This record gives sequence, C-alpha cells and structure tokens, in this order.
Amino acid sequence: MSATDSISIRLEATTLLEKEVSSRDLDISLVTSLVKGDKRAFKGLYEEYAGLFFTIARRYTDSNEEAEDMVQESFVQIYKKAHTFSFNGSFEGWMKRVVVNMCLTSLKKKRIKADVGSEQLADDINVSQSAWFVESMDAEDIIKAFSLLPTGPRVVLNLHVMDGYNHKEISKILGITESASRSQLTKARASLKQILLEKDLLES
Amino acid sequence: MSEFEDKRFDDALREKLSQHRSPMPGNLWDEISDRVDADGASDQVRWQRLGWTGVIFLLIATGVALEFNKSISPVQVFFPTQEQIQHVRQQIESTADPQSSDERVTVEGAFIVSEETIPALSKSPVQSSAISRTGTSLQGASIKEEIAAPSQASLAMSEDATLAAIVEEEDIIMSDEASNLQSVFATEKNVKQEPMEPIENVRVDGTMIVVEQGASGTIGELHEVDEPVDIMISVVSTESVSSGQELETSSGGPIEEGTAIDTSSYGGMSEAGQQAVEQLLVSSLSKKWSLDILLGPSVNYRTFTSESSPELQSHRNDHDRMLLSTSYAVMFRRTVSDRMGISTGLFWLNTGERYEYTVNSATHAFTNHYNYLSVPLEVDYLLWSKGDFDLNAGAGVQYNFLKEGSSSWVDLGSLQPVTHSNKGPESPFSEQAWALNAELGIRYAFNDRLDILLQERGTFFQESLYKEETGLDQRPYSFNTMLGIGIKF
Repeated sequence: MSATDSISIRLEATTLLEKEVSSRDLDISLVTSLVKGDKRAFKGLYEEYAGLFFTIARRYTDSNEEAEDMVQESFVQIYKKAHTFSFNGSFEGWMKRVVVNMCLTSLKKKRIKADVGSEQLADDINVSQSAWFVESMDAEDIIKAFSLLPTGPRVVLNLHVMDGYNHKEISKILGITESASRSQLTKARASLKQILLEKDLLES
Repeated sequence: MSEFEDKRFDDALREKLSQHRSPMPGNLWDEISDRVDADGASDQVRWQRLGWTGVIFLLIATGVALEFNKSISPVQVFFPTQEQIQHVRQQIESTADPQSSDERVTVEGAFIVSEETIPALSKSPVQSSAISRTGTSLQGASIKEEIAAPSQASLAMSEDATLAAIVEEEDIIMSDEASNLQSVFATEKNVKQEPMEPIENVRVDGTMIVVEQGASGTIGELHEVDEPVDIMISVVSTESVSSGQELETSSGGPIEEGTAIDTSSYGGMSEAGQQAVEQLLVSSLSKKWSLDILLGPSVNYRTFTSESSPELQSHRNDHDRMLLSTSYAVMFRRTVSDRMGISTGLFWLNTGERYEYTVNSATHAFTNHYNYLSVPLEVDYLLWSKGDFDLNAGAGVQYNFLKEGSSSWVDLGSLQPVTHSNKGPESPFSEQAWALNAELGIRYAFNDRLDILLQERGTFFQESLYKEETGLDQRPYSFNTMLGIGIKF
C-alpha cells in the first residue's frame, strides 16, 4: 500500500467518523428537543420522516388507512418515548424499529401467527430477470404489490429482506419455526414476482 | 431460482423502497399533533394525581410525626395534705346532725381531666363510673353528691369512697367498683337554704377552671390555678356556708358566707390514687402497637373499557359476573393518639371475575383471577366508643404487586377462547398497580392484650391491571368482610 493510499484511507475514515459524530450530535439535539416537548422539532421530524415511515407501514399492512394509523401511532410513541432512546445506534434506526414494532403488534392482534403457513401461495416460479422488473417499476407499484401478498409471508418478506432480521429472529417474533420462516420467504418472493410480472404484462 | 437471483431481487427491492417516501395525507400531522397534546394533558392529569397523592402522604406523615413527637405533659395532681383531709372530715361530722332529717350534707366536687388523661382513665376500672358519665369529649365534669345523713357523709369521705360522677339533684351516685382510685373531696353545708343550681359543666381553659351552672351554662365560677390542670378533684360549691361553720382553706382563712372556695385547696387525689392513675397511664401508653390478623370473604368485580374494541368491552361487560374469593391480611397498627391509628402490613388480595358465554351450543366458563400481594398504608379514626367496643373508620392507599393473573374469554372473531396469563415475557398484565382503600371496623377489647376485629373493607384500583399498550383498561374493586384478632403489645 502506498503512502498516498494510506493517507487517503485515513482521510476517508476521519470523514466517516466526523459524519458519525455529527449524526450523533444531531440525534442528541433532536432527542433532547423531543424530551423537552419541542413541538417545532417534532414537526420537523414528522416532515422529514413521515413519508419514509408511511412506506414502511404500507409494506406491512393491508391498506393505506391502516398504515396511516400505524404512522400516527408511531409518531405519538416516538414523541412520548424519546427519553428511552439510549443512543445505542442511530435515532433513525430506533424510529424505524418503533414503526415496525407498531405494525407487528397490530398484526399480532389480527392473529398473524395463525395466518402464517395457512395461505395457498404460488409455488416458486422461475422468473429470470426479476430484479430487472423491480428496478424498472415505480416504487408505489411495488408497495401496492406488497399489499396483495397474504399477511404472513408479507411480514416474513418485510422482516427479512427489507428490515434485516434473520430467520432465527423472525421465528421468535412470529412464534414459528426457522424452516417455516424460510419456506414463507421463498413463497413470498415467488408470489411477489408473480404479481409484479402480471402487473408488468398488463401495463405493457 | 438461484440464490444469486434471489439476492439481486432482494437488493433491488431494498434499493427501490428503503428510501422511498410515500406521499402523506394532508391532515395526518394535525391528528398527531392533537394526539400528542391530548396525551400531554393526560400526562399532566396523571402527574397532578400523583402530586395530590404525594401531598396526602406528606400530610399523613407530618401528622404522624407530630403525634409521635408530641410531648405528653405529666399528670398534675393537686395533692391535699392529711391534715386537710382530716379537717374536712371533722367538719362534716361535727356539723351534721343525724337526728334531724332536715339536715342534709351536700358534697360537691369537680372532676377535671385533660384530653390526655381520658384515654388512661378509660382503660381503668373506674371507666364506667367516671368517663361514661362525663363523656370523653369533655375536659371535665362535675361531681355533686347530696347525702342524706352524716353517716353517709362520712362514708363518702372514707378512703373507700371514690370518684363519683355527675349527680342529679337528690341523687346519690357512688362508685364502689372504683375503690382503687381514691379521692378526697369535700366541703359541706347545711342545705336548709335553697339548693344550688346543678353544675352543668366544668372545663379547663389553660390555667382557668370554668364552672358552668344551670341549664343556661352560666359561668358560676372562674378559678385560676398556677399550672395547667390534668386531674383535679375539687370542691366548687359557691353556696353560702352556714354561720358558725369554719372551714379553712389551705391559705388558712375561714370561709365566709358566699365566698367561693379556693378549689386548689381541697382538690387532689390520694397517693394511692395517684399511683393508680400513673400506672394506668404507663400501661395505656405502652400498648400502642397491635398486630392484626384478618381473614374473610371478598366480593370482587371490576370496571372494563377497551378503546380499540368497543365490541369486546360490550361483550365482557355482558358476560362477566362478580367473583367470590377469600382474602387475608397481617397488619401492624400503631396508636398515634387516643382517636387515631396508622397501620401498614401485607394484604393478600384475591380479585377476579367470572366469565361465561355460550356460542354454538358450547358454554365457555372461566374464572379470571388476579392475585395481588398488597402493601397498604392506612389511617383510622375512632368514630364512637362504648365500653369495650370501638368503631373506627379508615382510609388509605395501597400498592399492589401481581403474584398471579389469568384471564380468558371468547375471541369474537374466531369464536375461540383466548387466554392471558402473567407468566412469560408477553404478559399483558401490569406487574404493579396502586389502589385506594376505605374501611369501617369494630374493635372489641376482649382483654388487655387481645382485640377481636370485624372489618368491612373496600379496595378500588386506580390503575388498569392490563398494560397500557393492550388498549384494555380493567380496574378491579373488591369488598372484603374480614374477621380477625388484634394482639396488643
């Protein structure tokens, strides 16, 4: 490694560290404002993240109305529980977990556990270039396709693919076995591809 | 499909959606803002409630601290000398004529006690003759005896003659059973004259002894003593003294007609009486603690609301019924004044309700139970007392720790039973909740050491037994009829 490379890497690391520190400072400032009950800061937070949280909620729920409820409930919880944020990780990540947990709690009330494995899903189909479909489609259409999936597989797909949970964690969250989680994921992918394909064909 | 293809698909999904911001409905912020304001207001109410609870606790604690630190003034006894006693006896014997039925000797006295002395006396054998006739609310009462013959008069002066109580005109009331509390009090007069108005009340106001006479309560006498009076037995007659009689006051001068007698001169108790009172005082003051053990049936029910499911609220309220259970308590009670006590301890409170619902010809019946170990803090007050019976009313707060909880009902969607339990990490129950309580109890002093207790007690939870996030608000209440014993020490 040349001296130039070494300096470049160090500069990059310093920049990343500075970014991290800066982000952490922002988090501290934001959380402090929320804890103090600063409504302006809260509104700023809403304007920044409402759309993102709405996307997350729509991925999990059956309808936009339900997703709105989740977003509303999540923001209320974020405002009320901001003092419990431990600065272990980013505040954004913490807020996303609040939204996901809110959706999961709501779905659990609807007996999601019983739903898992009970749906008749399409067998896995070999749709090559499926990634291309996704890349070429509008995000709104993909979210709508999510809502067409049955609840159980949709939740597994969301948890694993979108929110980074592994199968062990999913099995604990949903009270199912790890193999069931894997199986649901496979079927969920297949169904989503099928839905996206049909949609694409229809549109074309 | 290959794992590679899956990964590409997953990555594409993430890339497309992870930062996608869906367009938001316009009024959502207003709704969130309203919610936050409303929750803030409810938080404020909660804090206010907590604040008031703190204030009540503080007041109780201050009251208790003041009671504990209140100095009990020593009993002040005006103590007549043997010479004075003998002198009075001689006077009575010399002036009374046993042959004359017209001659009567009236002995009048005042029995004055302070509030602090009353509890001591109320424990004594003379209670029935003294306190029950004077009433514990008075600081004093009058004694007046009218004795028909000198022999009886001298008997009244004997050491066995003891405290008497309020005497109606012409009545003679003496307390034979009070022989251990001897008193000496006397003056005499020949009642050929008009009888005096009966003394209605004698009260102590600091160092002033106020004697009220007649139905109108006119102040008949006003005596000033050197120190505040706790116990005094004294002569308060203001009747004119017959000519020829020579009663001397402690200051030495003869009593002239119409002269009020210096009460302190003839008031007091014998040495034995003083010792008896002191012993009773010590005895009474030392038994301030009581260990109460109570057991009895409870009638339990609850309030139930569900924000998220009005159907469930309506269903549960239609199909839940009261539950009968048994509760028990071990309480320590400390007497802090003659009327007030404070108690705490452990209370095993078993609440719950019965659920029964028939669907598709199948009846689902469950006994939902929530067993708490509670720590109450209560203050009680003596409302009424007669003989060995005390009627107390009390109120307080209690903190409840859930030991075991289980509830079941039929889910209206699936029509299948659902069960919740406090076991496991997903328990919907709150581990703690606080409650208010109120009680009405009768305490019978079986003897010096043992009380028998009968208590009606109500407990009203102020917090839901379910966690907030469940959206269920269930607050148990229960009414306990408890029987037990109190061991005083």
